[in-house]
Amino acid sequence: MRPTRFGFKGLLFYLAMSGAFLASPYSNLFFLLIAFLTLHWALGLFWTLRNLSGVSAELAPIEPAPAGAGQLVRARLHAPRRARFELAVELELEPALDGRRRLRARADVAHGDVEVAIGVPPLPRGIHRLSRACVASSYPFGLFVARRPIAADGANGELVVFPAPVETAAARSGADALSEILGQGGGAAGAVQPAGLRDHRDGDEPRAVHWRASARRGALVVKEWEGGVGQGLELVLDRRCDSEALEQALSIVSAVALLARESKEVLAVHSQGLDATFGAEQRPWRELLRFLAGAEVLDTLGPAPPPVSPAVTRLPAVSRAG
Amino acid sequence: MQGSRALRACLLGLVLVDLVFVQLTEAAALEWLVPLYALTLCSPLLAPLRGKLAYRVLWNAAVLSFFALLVRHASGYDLRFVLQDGLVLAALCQVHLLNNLRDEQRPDLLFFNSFLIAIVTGYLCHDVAYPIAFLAYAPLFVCGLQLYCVIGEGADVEPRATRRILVDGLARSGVLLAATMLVFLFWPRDFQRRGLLAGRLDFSSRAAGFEVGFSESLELERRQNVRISDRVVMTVALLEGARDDVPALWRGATLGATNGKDWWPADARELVSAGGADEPWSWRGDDLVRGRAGHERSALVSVEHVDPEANRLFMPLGTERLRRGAGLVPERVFAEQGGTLRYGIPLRVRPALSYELAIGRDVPAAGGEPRAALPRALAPYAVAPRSRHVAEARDLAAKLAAAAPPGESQHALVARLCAYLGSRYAYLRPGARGAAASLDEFLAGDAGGHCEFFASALGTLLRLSGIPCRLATGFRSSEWDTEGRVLTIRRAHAHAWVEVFDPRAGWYAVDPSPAVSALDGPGLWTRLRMAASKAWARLASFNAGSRDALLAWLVRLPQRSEAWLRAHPLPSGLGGAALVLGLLAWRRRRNAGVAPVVRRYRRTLRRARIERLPGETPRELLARARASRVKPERLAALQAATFDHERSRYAA
Repeated sequence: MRPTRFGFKGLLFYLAMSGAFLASPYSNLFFLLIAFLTLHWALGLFWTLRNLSGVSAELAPIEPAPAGAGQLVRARLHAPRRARFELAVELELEPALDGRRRLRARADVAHGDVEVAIGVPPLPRGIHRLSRACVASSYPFGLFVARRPIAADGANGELVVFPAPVETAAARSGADALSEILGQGGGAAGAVQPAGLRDHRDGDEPRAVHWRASARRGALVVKEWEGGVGQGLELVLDRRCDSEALEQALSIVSAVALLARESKEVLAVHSQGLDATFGAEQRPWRELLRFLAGAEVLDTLGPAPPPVSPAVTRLPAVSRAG
Repeated sequence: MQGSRALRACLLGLVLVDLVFVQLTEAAALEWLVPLYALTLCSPLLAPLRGKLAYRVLWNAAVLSFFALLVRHASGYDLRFVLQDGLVLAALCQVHLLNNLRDEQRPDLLFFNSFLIAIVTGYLCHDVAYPIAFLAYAPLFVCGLQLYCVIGEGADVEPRATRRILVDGLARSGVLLAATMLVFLFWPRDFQRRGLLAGRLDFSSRAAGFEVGFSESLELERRQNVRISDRVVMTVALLEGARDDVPALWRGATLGATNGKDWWPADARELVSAGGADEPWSWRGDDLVRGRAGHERSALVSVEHVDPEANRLFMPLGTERLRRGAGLVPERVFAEQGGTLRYGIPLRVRPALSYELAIGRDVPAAGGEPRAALPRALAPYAVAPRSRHVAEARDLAAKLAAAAPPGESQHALVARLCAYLGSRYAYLRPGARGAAASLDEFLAGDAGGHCEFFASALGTLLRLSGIPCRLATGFRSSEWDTEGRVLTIRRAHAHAWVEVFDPRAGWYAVDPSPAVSALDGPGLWTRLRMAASKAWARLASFNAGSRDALLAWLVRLPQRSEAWLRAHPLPSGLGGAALVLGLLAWRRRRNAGVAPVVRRYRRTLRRARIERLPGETPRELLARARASRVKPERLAALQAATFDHERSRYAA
């Protein structure tokens, strides 16, 4: 409970009026008005606390969001017994965002369960911790604001902002994305090349079908890519590079991961501090996105990524480690 | 209505009430306030122009010009006028803010300024219209704050939510006003507190135009900018006797010296050396008495002073005894010539001052010789003015003396002069057009005048006729309440008359003015207004004694209520039954639409002191209750209520 900005001004005004009251001879009318003003403060304090009493709130799990794009954080307010006014859910980010300490969304009138969505502005890549989440109200007079903390831990305790994925025009899967993005690179070392054809098996993506060869053979054949591991994708992310290259590599991984998640593919990522496969029945995608959000450049003398087949795609295309 | 529009409406209402407050203080003539009213009411129409540079430039130029005008106006007067001009400026600022506040700007200043105006005008305005205006102000202030709090710097509020906020604001205003009244009535405080800067806050009103009111001297001149205020000076409650036994004339000062133009108190040293013409006052315990042996008491009244500027203990001429009441300090009472009493307190100190008066029955004045040898003590009151200002009066006195019947008694002469003045000259209210500027002009019949001219004329004619007399200033009121128990005396009742010394009866009052105060009308509206004014005056003059009386009344209330209920069994029974039926109807309405099993379930939750979390099912809640320290019997009740609830919901 603390005074609002309006409350601070009001407090100064109140002190000035009280000073004038004490400085002047007693007057019934002045006393009446000072009593009104004092009670307005006292009842304002009491009513603000009462407006918040019994109110609870919980944050919905916060989904990772790409850098540069805003997102909505949803919260559910529970106001039992009577109608409450101006209930707000506030989030405090660490570090503060452009001087704004708090992000808030309010429910004008709440009775029972109400859902509010807090608009989070575009954030840079990173893991932004919620230093505090609370339900707040300054109703009725806006002189004081009372806050009650709400649980913000685990998936609710941080905003995961992963790298903005690179644009892919036609890719509809992680493999497509990888080929499209790396194809643009023009055969750089480690680029993914068609490795050959094989017979079509159940479960193969229709996009992988090599229609011309299938027509020639009279049976469906699919393309196999170098760097691909069966039905999944595999990438090596070597963080021993400069920051620009790392950002670009992270954006590629981000795009591949998002498309792989959409098309229910599996993606194995090998990097310093991460060596896991993500997808259905594997590690959750959130973990990968969280890793991408927090990934930092490593020294050239730092550890190498886990050893994998040389055929696996390596990002960035050229690392400082050579 | 959307929230932002409702907030705008509240702000507009606040500014309008502020203007009413300022108008009630009479700080500014209506022609100054009419443009402000118009601009306030037009603010919704001017809203689209707020963003335009030319509009803002025009507004700022207008405000600066207005400010310059006010400064020029105020510079010719004293501090009090500066305060009043400041009020007009504050009102102008409010109108300016209202018309220039854009949606993204905060109206904090408008709220603070509005309350400041309410406080300052409360100091200057004692009219009953003030509390009525404040009753309109409070809900606007509270609803405005609530809307401002919800809207803040964020998005607008939907019409439905706005309605709920407004209803909530009205309810809170009622609670706030009721709580304020309780604090006002019962909060212990020093009603005599002088204030840290009391001596430095003395704003003289002498130069601030002219307000009709009690005066300790009399200067005949043509006055402009005259204000007539119905501010209550005091109330007189009749304790014993009949209403007709209480004189209408209440004196505060006597003016025994004159130069034919002005009247002022006679020189005290001269009067003392002459032996004094009035019985002296002396303290006997709590009573201040003066010897008028043989006079029969006709009325006993209780006087309560409300006006903070009144530094006299007003009383009728025939008062024999004054008993001190609440707030009256004997050491501050000073007897003056003419038998009046001055109360030596600084101006602007507002004492809760009350006292009782025993008023004697006057011996009718019926005789006396006009040129009888005067006692030495009366000589100062018989000095005829010799200045050029009384040329017309001297001629008139000679003419009237020539027309006197042989052997005419002093009393008959006084009555004849009085009747002559009343029939010959026109009464004009102070400040009216066509009013005389001097006694000569008045007596020449070219112009009318108010009570001071009539009193001066009679006093001068009597002095020229050798009859000892003096002018008295105070109030004349016959504004009794409908029961005839309380007489209200206002500033507008200020009056001047003549006191003549009758060799047999002593001093008696003669009022030559034919005028009757406009406030004495007995119409319904006037009566209503009087009743409201009376209630407000009682509130404004609330003091420790009033609070004690109220507390005593409250202490007696249960016994009185019980006695009343026993004495009136039928109305009591009917009232009780209506109350019970009302409560039942309220409960029924409150529970309408909620299934009994749900009501039971909620009641059980309340008793178990456990609250449902968002999205929690009754079964989950029951599990949580089991895990927590809920008493076994309450847990069992909760379990039964949960199963009942489920059965009715899913198994029916």
